[in-house]
Amino acid sequence: MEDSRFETSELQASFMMATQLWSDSWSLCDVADRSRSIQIQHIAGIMYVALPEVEITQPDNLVVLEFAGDWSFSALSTSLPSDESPPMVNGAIRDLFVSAALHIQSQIIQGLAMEERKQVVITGHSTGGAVAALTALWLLSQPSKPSFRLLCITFGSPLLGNQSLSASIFRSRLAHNFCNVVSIHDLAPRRNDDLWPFGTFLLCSDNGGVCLDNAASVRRMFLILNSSGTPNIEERPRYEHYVSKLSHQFLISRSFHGGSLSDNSYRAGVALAVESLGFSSDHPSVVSAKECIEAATEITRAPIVRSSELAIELGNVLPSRLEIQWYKESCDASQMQLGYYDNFKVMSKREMKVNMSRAKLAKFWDGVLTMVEKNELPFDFHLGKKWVFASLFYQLLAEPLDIAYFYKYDYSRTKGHYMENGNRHKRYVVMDKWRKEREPQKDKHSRTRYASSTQDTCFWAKLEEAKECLDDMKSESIDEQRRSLLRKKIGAFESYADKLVTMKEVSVDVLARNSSYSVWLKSLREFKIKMDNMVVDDAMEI
Amino acid sequence: MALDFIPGISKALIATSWRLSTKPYTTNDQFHQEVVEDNTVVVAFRRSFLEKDWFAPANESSFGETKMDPAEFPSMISFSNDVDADARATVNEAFLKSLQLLISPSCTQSVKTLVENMRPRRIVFTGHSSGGATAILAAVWYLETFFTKKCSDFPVCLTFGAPLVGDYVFKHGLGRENWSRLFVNFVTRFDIVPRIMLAPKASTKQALPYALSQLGRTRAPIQENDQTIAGFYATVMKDVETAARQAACELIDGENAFLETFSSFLELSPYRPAGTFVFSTGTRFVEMSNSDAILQILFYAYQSTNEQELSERPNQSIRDHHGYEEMVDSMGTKDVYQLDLNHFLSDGGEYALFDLRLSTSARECVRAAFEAEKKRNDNQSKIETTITKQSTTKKSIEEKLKWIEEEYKQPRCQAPAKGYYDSFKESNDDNDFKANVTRAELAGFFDDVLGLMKKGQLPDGFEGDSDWIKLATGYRRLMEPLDIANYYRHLKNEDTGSYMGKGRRPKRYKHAQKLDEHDLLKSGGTAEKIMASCLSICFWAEVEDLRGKKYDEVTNEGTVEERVTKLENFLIDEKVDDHIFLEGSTVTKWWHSLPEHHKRSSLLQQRMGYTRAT
Repeated sequence: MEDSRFETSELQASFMMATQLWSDSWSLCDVADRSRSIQIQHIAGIMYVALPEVEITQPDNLVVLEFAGDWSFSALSTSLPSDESPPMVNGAIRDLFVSAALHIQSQIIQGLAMEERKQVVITGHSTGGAVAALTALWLLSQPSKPSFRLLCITFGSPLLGNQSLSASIFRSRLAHNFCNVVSIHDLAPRRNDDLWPFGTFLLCSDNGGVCLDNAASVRRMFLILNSSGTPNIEERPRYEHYVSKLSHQFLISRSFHGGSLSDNSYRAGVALAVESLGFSSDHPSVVSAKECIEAATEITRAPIVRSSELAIELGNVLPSRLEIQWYKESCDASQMQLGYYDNFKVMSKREMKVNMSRAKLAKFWDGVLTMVEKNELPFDFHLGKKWVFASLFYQLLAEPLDIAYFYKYDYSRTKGHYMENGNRHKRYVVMDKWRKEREPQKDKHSRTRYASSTQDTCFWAKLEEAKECLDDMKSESIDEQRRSLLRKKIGAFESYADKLVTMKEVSVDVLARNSSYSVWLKSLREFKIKMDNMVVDDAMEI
Repeated sequence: MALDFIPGISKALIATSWRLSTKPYTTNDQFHQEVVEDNTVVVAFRRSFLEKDWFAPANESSFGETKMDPAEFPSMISFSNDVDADARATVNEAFLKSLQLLISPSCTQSVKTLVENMRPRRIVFTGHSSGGATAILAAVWYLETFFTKKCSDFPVCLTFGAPLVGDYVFKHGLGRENWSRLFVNFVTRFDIVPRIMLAPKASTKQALPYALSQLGRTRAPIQENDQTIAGFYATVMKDVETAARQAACELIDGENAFLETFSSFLELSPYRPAGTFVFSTGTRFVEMSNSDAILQILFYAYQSTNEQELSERPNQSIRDHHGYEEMVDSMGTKDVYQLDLNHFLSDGGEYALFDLRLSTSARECVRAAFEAEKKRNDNQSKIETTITKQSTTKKSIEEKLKWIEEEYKQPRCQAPAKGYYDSFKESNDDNDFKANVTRAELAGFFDDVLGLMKKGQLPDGFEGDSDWIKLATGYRRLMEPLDIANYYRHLKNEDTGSYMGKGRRPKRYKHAQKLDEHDLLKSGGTAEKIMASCLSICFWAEVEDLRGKKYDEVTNEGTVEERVTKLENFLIDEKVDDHIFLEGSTVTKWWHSLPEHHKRSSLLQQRMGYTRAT
């Protein structure tokens, strides 16, 4: 399929350089630098905020980013794996940010009040760009998303923070708001190898530009530039030059100088991209630059390919889900009146078959989750309606069976209950989180009939715990402290379950005559009567 | 190679069109007309170089655009873009207004009267410059209002140096109705007019009146080194570049989150080329109809190879707007090169791209446009294969539908069964399960196709194809009752409300219904007939909703009593399937549960075998 692919890094760069957005941003950065003050201007419905360059003498001294307090970046914290070091940023930049951020925020709010389109570009050159990026990041990571669209464009700015910062920005799906323009002659962004880039990078030379939008590729390209010894030319005039030269040269067609160009679109595109970086075709770094660009395309393309493959796989496992659903319906209608949950525990021939389907679905969803976790899918994949609903239907049907299986084969006092010790499978925890992320709970209108699936997928796990409590209660050998704890637990479950039933949030299988719940309820009632009959000084309140 | 854009369009006809398009006006008339050979009428619209005729003065949008009225232009919408709200086509308001003036009944010399009085066998709409824009809209209006295959030949629209008129939906609508081929736009290589609409009003505003006045001068030579014109030219081309490059990025890398964010900060022109474009290069004509490729050509064919050439462009771009005389004259002597997908795949379009002096990256962009077209075609053939070809592991869509119809539905629609709706709703046996799996598989297929349409990844003509409409309608009639049964079996109405409520009914059915309705409308169906076509399936949902209501309840959609009566009338008037009235069917059970006093006066008594309780 290689012949139908295209190399977009150069095309994307020429598109960006064709826009007013980049030339207007630069002009304002220039004014900010010269006047040493923040510049604000409205051009064609966009509000531009340009931060001036400030000289920083300290070496790169990293400080940990806060997740609480005035200067918190709370959106970044939610997706932080526990084994990763905390996101850190340049301390000097952070200080500059703290001194400017509130002022900028209030300026933006004031400035947008009259605007119809709420669009803000925060920009800056050199250290000004780094402060701009941190300010933009702060605005984007507030608990409530900003009411305006935000784009941050930096010119020749030093990198802001560590690898963990870059990774958490990527995971929080904020990276697409950042664009960094870097001259191949500018050393500032690639001076410190310990710092990691984030956002899209537009690398430009006299010949044009190339866009790279993943951190690994940008780092690799920086290494290539470092090793190829491109001279550091005084930076500011460079950017001025690119903006005026490259954006006005558009009407002269560009010809390729590196000899004959491949007929293959993809290879031709790569060759053009490398030339745009200013490498002549006999330059020693050409091969590695080509490889770097090819790899970048691959990294960008892979998620899209994967997500369409997954859609087909989802179709393939559908019969398994329908089988479980059908199984549930026949259990609900069965004369045994055991209900879906308890019926599955019987584990006769039909259940074995259903269990196979359960395993098949679990395997599929675990695969999906792993990919989402590793960011191998498009960045808003799990927020798509199709996947939210598919995961919900799956969970409603399958989790009760997982719980049944757990209590039949795995449960022991040492292992703990389903809801404890991480016994509940991680996929369900993640799915719960997805739904919360997509839409906050809204008020539902009340049901007139029982739901087709119990809406709390952990209902049965909670019942199993209550069942154990009741059994313990019946045994004579427990002390008073334990007894009161059990009493509390039983009471809590009883009222929780009662509420679900009254709201009709449970499916009919919960209420089947011989279901664990019905049985439990009956034995609780008997127990209460028994307790009442025993003359009591410690009256049961349950 | 001869000119064969459309069979029957001769060189003479093109020449007549051009002559008529530029014929001076001595009166206030807005068009010239001439009867030529074989009962063909040529109607040429008047051009204007006044700013108000290019951008409607009161219009506040960035590109002077407005939405077309679906009552007047029922085909100029997209059914798949947003199934819940039809996406209407966007066109330039000034051009639309000039058409509306010509078709209004109050107009003394109206095109409408002309068409109605002369009843020509064939009509050619034509115009130069803004006259061409009017011609395009007039042709669309004619196709929507008058055209029926039986009594006339297809109209034709020939434009010379016309500005772009409509957006993607406009182009999509023409493609879906198979009308695109009737629009032929002649463009000289450097003519600036077909490019003007790609620039926002704000950026050209100052220089536009002057530039238009220069464009309107046919005789006096243009002053060399005119700075205003040079500035105007540079501004327009900058915006053309932005539009073309953005479109190219989207073609290749449509799901790039950064590009999406970045583009959302730009004011991008909605206008897109529609129909066939014939570019004149020095040595030949290049004919193409791939809209994406034409957009790229509009930018790249303008690039120069050196500064000297570049400095001459502004004046050339004005001069070329009047270069059509020469183009028309050389027709028949110059070669016509068709730059279409087939040619492109066989030789990479070398000749044409060379003639247009396209650079390497320009060729890449044109190539991307054709690759996208190829992908759309490939998607279509994949779908067609899935519909008809069954493999060892998978049944074809047709097979699945046949199985539901013959093996599932029919046996369940004869007494003593209770109909396939209720049988499916109860799902007691293996075949019910099998039907459910088939239902889900079919849903997956139709959802996927809709997804492709929505993303523009199928040819525009796909939705207009009668075979597809037939298949989708058949699918909807057969399967939607099962989806309704499934919805109410799983009590989804408890979670989300009535099946027919907002956002509940699957989009695949809404879409199929829209295509069916549009088809009925085009073949002259009445509003009642179209309404009935929808209700004949969705009444199941209405029955289910009414089952849960008390007879004296008042709902958002009216009182229950009214709704019951309406439903009963429908069941009597329309030819609904007999199995609906089988004993044990949801409809029958529901009807019998109605209050005695209602049943006593109901028109359904007989159908339901009702005997008055004594």
